[in-house]
Amino acid sequence: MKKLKGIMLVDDDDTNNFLNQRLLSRMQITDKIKEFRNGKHAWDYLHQLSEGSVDTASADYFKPSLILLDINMPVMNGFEFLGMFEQLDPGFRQDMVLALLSTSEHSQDTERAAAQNIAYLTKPLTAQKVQHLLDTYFPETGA
Amino acid sequence: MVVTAYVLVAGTLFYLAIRQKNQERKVVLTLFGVTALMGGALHSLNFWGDGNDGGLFLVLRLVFGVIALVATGLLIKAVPGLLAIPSPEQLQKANDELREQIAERERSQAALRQVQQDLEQRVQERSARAITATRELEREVENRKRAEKQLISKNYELVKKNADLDDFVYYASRDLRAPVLNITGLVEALKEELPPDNPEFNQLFARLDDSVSSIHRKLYNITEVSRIQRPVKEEELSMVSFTQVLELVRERLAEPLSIAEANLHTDFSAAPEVYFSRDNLLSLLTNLISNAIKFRDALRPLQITLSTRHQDHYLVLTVQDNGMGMDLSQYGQHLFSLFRRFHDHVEGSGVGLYIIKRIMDNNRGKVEVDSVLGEGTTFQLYFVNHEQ
Repeated sequence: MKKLKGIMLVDDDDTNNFLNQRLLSRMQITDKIKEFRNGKHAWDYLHQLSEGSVDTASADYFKPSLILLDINMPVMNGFEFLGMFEQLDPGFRQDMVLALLSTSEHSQDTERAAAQNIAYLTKPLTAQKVQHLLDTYFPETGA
Repeated sequence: MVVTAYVLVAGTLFYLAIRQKNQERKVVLTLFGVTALMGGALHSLNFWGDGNDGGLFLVLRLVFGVIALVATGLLIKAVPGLLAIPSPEQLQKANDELREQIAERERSQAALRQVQQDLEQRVQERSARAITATRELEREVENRKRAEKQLISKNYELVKKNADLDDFVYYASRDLRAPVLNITGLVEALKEELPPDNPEFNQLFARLDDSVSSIHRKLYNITEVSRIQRPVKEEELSMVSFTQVLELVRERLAEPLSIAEANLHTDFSAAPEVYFSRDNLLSLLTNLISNAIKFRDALRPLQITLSTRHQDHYLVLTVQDNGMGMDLSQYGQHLFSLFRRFHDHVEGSGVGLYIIKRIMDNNRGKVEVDSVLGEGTTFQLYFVNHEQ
């Protein structure tokens, strides 16, 4: 199975990040997972990467294939992050997949996500949900 | 001849005088009569005398002349009294009468003035009373306006407080979901880390799972109940397809549906869509289907039939099952009450039917339920038809 280049977890809930990191590590779908506590941090990181102002050779800096994004976050929430993400260079963001994570389903949120062709997952994240996401967006990782 | 004429005139005058009632006229007529008589007497002396016995006739003539003169003098004196009709007494009387009349008029005028004054006073009193009454009324109106204003502001406050409370419950329950979800995840992680097949652990985990899923369910219900209290925003309304929403419900309830071996039959051809909040329709169908699953009859496979139709100005959704059914005469009135449960052998929060009722009420619709014990239950949801 081909592994993903890296995954970004963006959630203000530390325990949730911990659990998701644990799940993804155990599923062995990537070697690189990075956690961010809000959309701003994640955005700053991506922006630096796109500008090439970081040492890409360092193991601490990698371009993720998948970003799991919580909706309710302080400073910059999931949808605000999405708005900023749209402003990144299209060439830079074309091979990144975004997925929203939420504790509850709201038509308005799901419709918004669907309109932007972004996956919408309800918490808790499970191996089954992750596998479904991979099958849909990363068919090359399939066995 | 002349003497006869004089005497006749005198007699006539005397007669008239006797007949006359008025004292003055009587006197005058009598005096005229006397004068005429005296005239007659003088003429008769001329007739008889021939001037021979001069002395006696002269005396007689003198006497008659004096009498006539006296009578004439009296007459002259009496005539003004006769001419002054009416007499002084009459005048006095008339004067008295006039005075009386004047006094009478003055009296009636005074009475009139009195009446007028009374009237004016009454008018003034009435006006004063009317003004007082008007002022009182104005004050009353002011008071009522103030009271109304206070009521409106109190009402506004209450509505706001109520909305705040709903918001608080909604956000509190929503925010509690995250840590509860974390607990679920941590319990799963713990299970993976601990050695399997430990009966002690397994029993503990089973109870832990039960408790956590119970918290989940309760939180979900609280969120739902508080969510439906919030007014539906205009932008949340759209034409929603029954088939599409039912598909979501099938996904959500995939596990319980397969356990119940439920068969869903649908016919939305008469009315495939309804103008409604998608979340609310999802909630309605989820609660109706899960209700049918909970109260299925274990003796036969569960059949759920969903259909729509137009009736009057309503769009009617019918959800029929072949479950246990219930005795509506016993439970009917409490069926839609919050946290009321009528079965103790199935899990339930007593929220589902309340949510259905509230959603329909909030959208000016209604719910009807029909049930036969041992045969099944039919719910009919009446949506206000926005197409018309």
